[in-house]
Amino acid sequence: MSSQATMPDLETEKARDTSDQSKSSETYLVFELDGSEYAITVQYVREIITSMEPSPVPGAPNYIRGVINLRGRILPLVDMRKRFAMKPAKSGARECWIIMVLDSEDGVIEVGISVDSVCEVVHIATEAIDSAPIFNDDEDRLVFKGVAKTQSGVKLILDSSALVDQLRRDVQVRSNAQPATPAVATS
Amino acid sequence: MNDSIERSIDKANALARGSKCTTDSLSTCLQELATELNDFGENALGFVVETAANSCASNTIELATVRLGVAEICTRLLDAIESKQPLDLAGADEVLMPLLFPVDTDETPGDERDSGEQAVLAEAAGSQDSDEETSKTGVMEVCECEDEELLREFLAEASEHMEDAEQLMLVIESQPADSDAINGLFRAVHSVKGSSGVLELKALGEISHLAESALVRAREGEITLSGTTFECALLASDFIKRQVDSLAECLAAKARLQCPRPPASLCEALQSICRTGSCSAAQIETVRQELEAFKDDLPEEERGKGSKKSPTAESMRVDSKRLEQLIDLIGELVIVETAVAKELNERDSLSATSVANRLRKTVRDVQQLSLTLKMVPVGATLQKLNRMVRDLSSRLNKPCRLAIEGGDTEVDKTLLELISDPLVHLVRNSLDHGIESDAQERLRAGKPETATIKIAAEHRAGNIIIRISDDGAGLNRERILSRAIQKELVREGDRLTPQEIDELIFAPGFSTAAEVSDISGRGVGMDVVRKNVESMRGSIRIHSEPGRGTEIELELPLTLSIIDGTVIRIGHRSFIIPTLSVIEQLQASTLEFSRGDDCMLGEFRGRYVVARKLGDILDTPHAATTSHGRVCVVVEAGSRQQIFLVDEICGQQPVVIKPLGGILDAFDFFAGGALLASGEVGFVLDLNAICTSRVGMNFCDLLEE
Repeated sequence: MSSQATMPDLETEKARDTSDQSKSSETYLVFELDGSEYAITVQYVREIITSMEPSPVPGAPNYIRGVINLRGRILPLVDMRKRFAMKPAKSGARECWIIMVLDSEDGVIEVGISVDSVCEVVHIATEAIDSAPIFNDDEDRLVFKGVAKTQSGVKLILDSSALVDQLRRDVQVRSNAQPATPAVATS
Repeated sequence: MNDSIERSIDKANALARGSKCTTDSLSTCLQELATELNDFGENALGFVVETAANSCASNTIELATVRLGVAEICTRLLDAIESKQPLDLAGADEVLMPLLFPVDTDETPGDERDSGEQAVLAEAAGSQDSDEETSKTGVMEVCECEDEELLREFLAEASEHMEDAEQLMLVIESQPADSDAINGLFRAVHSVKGSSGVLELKALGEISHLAESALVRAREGEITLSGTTFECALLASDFIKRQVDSLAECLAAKARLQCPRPPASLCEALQSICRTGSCSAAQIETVRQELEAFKDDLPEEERGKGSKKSPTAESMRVDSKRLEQLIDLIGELVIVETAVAKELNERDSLSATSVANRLRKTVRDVQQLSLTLKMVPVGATLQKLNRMVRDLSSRLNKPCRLAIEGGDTEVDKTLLELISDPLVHLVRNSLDHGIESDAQERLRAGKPETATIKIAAEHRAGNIIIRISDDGAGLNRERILSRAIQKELVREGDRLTPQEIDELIFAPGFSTAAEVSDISGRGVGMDVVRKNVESMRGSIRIHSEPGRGTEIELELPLTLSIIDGTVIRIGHRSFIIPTLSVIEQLQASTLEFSRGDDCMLGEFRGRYVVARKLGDILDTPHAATTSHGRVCVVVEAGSRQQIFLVDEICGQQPVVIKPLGGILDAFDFFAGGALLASGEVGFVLDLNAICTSRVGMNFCDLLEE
């Protein structure tokens, strides 16, 4: 079963978020990955599920763990630890998946991201967010909107649309790269 | 296209609607417009205008008709230019036909349809004498319509249009200048008019035509829909709605088709709006009274039925997204059912097994039913071609009739919409290129003077087959070959079988017509048709016999989202090949392989075919050994055959193709994913992409087991 029961009700939070426009704060879902806390806007989060066995996609980048069947829809699962080049989780460690739905010009994009755990839903005022710190890898920087200091600690704000855009581009580049034709064996 | 053309069109339009219009001035004005259009390279539009100009000058048509026709053409020209679409001349034949297909006035009145048109014309042009008489003698017009399916579809559409119109009238009442609402209203009435013309529902066509002409003036901003004009428009739209409802009732009750005739006063009021821009309050009052009296005139039983039996009782429109969701969920239900049944059966209890069986049966029934939800008969779409054949054959002066077989064959609605354009093109092609232009030639060959184009639809092995055949001259292979050489599609001296020559017409950039006519050869070539068909996972074949005719056969899956798939395994992974593309499955050991220049070749039915290891293409390791030896699947994609070596063939099953969530769209090799009975996701292979790629050519290692 999904862990949604223990989570704050996303739909109510989303509704509250849109009605609270005046205060210029946004609602974020905070999750943990390799000891650090990250936040993404709840706007695109549809649900949080616990594991399901994905079917691997041949030829896909290594951080795409595979595709899952979520109530009759097929969507890819991105391993965030691999995506951010972190060390793999200890075997047997729990993880959960955040399912996001975004609109793009090419239609609806559905994707799941794997995280260690989901912590809380918080409101973060826009002025509490500082611009993103410089990372070594420019590409990585683009997917972070900034850093927010909250009562429960520092959180990196992840930009869901930028992340999805980057994933799409990355997959496209890889699939366009013509694999080398293997030479005919001369046995 | 520039403003000066639009100005010229406006000028002609204004002249036609104005009071100082004569046939001569109109003809000169149109002639100028035609020259201007031709100068701009818009030859198709120019041709239409020129034809109209000539008909004007010939003085064989009444001025009133000419004016209505020219106004109509101008409106459509502007539409075509604005939307950058080809000129649409469908519908409104009462006014367009005489202008664009001039008939000799001394023609014997043998052709019933034409004389019928003349009658409608006379009425539309404003001669009231006959009108008043008919409206008193018979309140109801009896209509003939052979094609019930087409009529049903039209009525469903029309009633939807008129409901929209009702809503729009409310908007206009509060905001008479709302151009969106007026345009919407115009479109609604225009569609009803167009289709009623095709179906020969005269009473309906007449009133909607008048209402449309009045709305044209409102659309151009010449009049405002308020006060009496608004009242008049409201009465007219109510009346059209009543006509549509009445026809729908007759159809539902399987009674003789009857449709109330518009009362003369309503026509008069509308005409006065067209002419003077307004109508008097007294006129409106008369219309009201007549309409009231009209209700009493209706036969008792007609009124008794009232609106109790709504036309939507037999079918209803459902948001297609919801339908898709439902089908998705039912697919999921089947998978859950499999799991539940397994659990229940393990309990080893008789009652549990019986419950499991009942569950299975019910779920399978629901699934079967869900697959038919989106199916519609092809008949209505094919009937629409009738009209095009009629128009074209008279224009090309090639007498021809269209025969339709298997109109009740059902196919997915989405697919039907997608093939309707290719069908139009194929039929046009048959008529333009296939049928002999010289009737004498046909007679000499012992064929009837009137040619026949036949469209036949049927189900075969889970697919739909549509054959378009003509009894024309057949393909001219010499011309095709010389053309192909000229276009460098083949080399001189290449030896081609007659079949291979015929297939050249599908090659990109091929067109034999010496001149590009505006009938076929407007850039939508046979290669585009073929591409469209293949993108629907279908195939197209051609068969031609010199002197006897040509047949084109389309084979398409019944739906776009569900295909019959052959499930194969490579290592631990499952993939799905569309069964339509599979020619044969055989043991690898039965085939002879040899090494070609840069790939392996397998001998299949006496020909050498490229053979590849599917696992290498899909980056999936093959199993080290298999219990029964490896298997080969021979596939055909885009007239290219290939042999794929796989580990195992698991069987065939209908699979629902689903998108891979957006991020993975860039993977060319996969057309999508499908849920297998185990709940596992299998990838549906896109054979066109795979066959043109160049991976996995070497598999000596596997054969040496």
